[in-house]
Amino acid sequence: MKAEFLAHYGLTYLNIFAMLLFLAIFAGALIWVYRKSSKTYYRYMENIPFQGD
Amino acid sequence: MQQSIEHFSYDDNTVKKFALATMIWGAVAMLVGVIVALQLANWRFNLFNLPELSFGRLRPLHTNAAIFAFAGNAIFAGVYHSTQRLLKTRTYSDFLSAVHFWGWQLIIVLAALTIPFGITTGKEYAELEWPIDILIAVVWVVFAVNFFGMLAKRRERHLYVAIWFYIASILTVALLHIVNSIALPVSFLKSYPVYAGVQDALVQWWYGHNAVAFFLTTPFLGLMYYYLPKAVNRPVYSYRLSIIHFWSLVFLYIWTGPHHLLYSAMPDWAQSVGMVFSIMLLAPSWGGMINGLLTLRGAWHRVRHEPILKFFVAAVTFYGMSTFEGPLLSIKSVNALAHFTDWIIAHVHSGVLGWNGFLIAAMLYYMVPRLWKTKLYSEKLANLHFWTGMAGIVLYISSMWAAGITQGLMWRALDGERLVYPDFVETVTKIVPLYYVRALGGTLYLAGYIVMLYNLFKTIALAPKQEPEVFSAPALSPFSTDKAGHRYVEGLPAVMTVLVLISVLVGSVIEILPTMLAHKYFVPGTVTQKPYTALELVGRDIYIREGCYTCHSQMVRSLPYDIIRYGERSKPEDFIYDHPFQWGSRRIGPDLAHIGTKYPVSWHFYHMMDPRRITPHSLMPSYPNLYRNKIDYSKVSKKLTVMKNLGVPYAPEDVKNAAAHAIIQAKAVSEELRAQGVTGHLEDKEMVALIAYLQSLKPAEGKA
Repeated sequence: MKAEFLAHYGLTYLNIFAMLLFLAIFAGALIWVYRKSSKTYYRYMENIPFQGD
Repeated sequence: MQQSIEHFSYDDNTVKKFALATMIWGAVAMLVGVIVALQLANWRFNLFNLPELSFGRLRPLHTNAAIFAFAGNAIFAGVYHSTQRLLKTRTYSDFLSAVHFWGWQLIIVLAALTIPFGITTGKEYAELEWPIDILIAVVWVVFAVNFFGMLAKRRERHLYVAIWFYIASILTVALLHIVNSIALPVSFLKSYPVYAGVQDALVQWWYGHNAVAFFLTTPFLGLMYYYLPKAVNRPVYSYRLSIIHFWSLVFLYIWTGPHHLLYSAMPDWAQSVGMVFSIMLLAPSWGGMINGLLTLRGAWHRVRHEPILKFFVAAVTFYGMSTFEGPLLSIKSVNALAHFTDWIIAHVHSGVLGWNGFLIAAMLYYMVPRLWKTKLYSEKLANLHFWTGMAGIVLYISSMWAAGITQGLMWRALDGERLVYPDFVETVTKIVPLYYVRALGGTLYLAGYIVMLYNLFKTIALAPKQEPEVFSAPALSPFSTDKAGHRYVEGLPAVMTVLVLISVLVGSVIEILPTMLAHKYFVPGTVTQKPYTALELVGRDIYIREGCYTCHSQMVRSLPYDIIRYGERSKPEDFIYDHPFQWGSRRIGPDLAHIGTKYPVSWHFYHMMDPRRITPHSLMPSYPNLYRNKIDYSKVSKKLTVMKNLGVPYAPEDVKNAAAHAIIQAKAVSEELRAQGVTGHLEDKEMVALIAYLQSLKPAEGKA
């Protein structure tokens, strides 16, 4: 049955949906990472290598 | 609430040992590299026709030594050195550190003892046999426990981006190694992989390309994000960009394996997915490169005076160049020209010599004086190393670009429907001068490396003896501020690890699962492809043992010039009984997919004894040992049993009488040889088994 399903797979909109989903996640992450309010946090993070020794 | 201050010291002894191991194994890997380069320039460098020193066996030794001994030890040195400092804690357990160090060195020694003796699985970069594979898995788990133990007892809440790269590397390498190494043993040092043909090809290159990704790229990016800011003494250009770099890279990389199999018998959809994801990978790779280079903003003038920065800048630039070249080579039409040629060899070496090699040099120049609490012995020698190494890389890459493109163009040159260069060896002799240039390039790179070894050993020798330093830091406090989103997540190593695992599993499952199911369509009886006879199987194991796959492909691509030169294009059903697949990755000699249809048995005999007798300018080593060695019939039945367990449709009497059948076929082949004028005692010689195998290489006749 699985083979038949795959052979007659014509649900191409699912591919488009998957692509849009990935794009949306990427765009969301991009916006979230570049929020202005995170400045202090990133300043702290980028200086961690200078604390250990 | 007042936090208690804790005092601790770092385990730099382990870091020192890994650094020293890196230095020593690097020299070995490069020396073997120079030897194999010379063997391609002149076959006489296959010294004394000794099989243990022939190209087919030394080439895997070179790649394994470069990847797992040189780069591997460097990763461990850097990960232990930087993670302790980034997390303000000592390694989890000194005992586990020692087991990790000595276990890894044992694996390297076992590799050096098995590969030249022909004990190999025949899968590129995964040649080690099953007992060593198990040892690798155990030592890797020890490393993982030691690493995640550090995360558990850390004194810094937040995990710096380098740590994420380490987490992704440790996790994914474990996954790749385990899935790709699943095999059924025939004996203590021989096994057959559970996958066959197209499946094996996909799993192998899913592994192979991600060994590049998660062994030679992500750990090194972690090292870059730690050591580059330290060397420049300013933070990374954009921490935000590093987050995007990390997640995009981890998600995209895992999909790209099929770009090694373009125009092959791999299903088209998998080829296209591999190509598209490879092209997308350019964006995060260049994001990372730009982030690295811009970390030097305002400090570029120091590059002129500080050799460490020269190495960093060159390494990151080579990262950028090879991650531009990779997507370019993955475009199908470019790949049609470049695949199976030296262009790929150029690409790989711009990565390993330029990116990995120079980053390791930068890391060692930074790390060694600090670990031994002294100054570098000579900045001048470090500069000499840089320029010698750079000259070596330039000669290496440019000669291999020229060789690859020349040979690729010659293979595809058509005059109507006729090949302009029908004689394969003609496309080889044209590029042999470039092989000498490559050997010179490699030698220069090795010379520069030896200068570094001298410089670093002098630095260590002149260092004063000192007690370990004691550091202080507050104990880790419970969460106080950030309880939302990514900040919360990256403070939780376990959650981070699961997210990374999901990222790499998405691509893996989508690509591999359908291919696994595809073989179900080729149930026994529906294809005319016959399983190998007992003697052919013995011959195939000799083919794998001698590393024939390092120079010969068995894959006629769906390209007109491949089909005109070699015959019918290869189909998935041609390989359904191939455990492991032997499609190869480089054509230093011609494709052998249909070699069984071309020559009489005596041709193979004379060719194997002395290739120059048949093809005057051949680069192939001679194999007189195959005429000396007797066939080992003792394991034939066991071999067929294992194959039968893997789904190859042998009848019970085939398995039971395997040795007797093999002896009968060997007699028939040797009689055929005698009829064609070959003299001497032949029946029980390995040569006969190999010839039987080569003569069996034909396309499957039609489909059901």
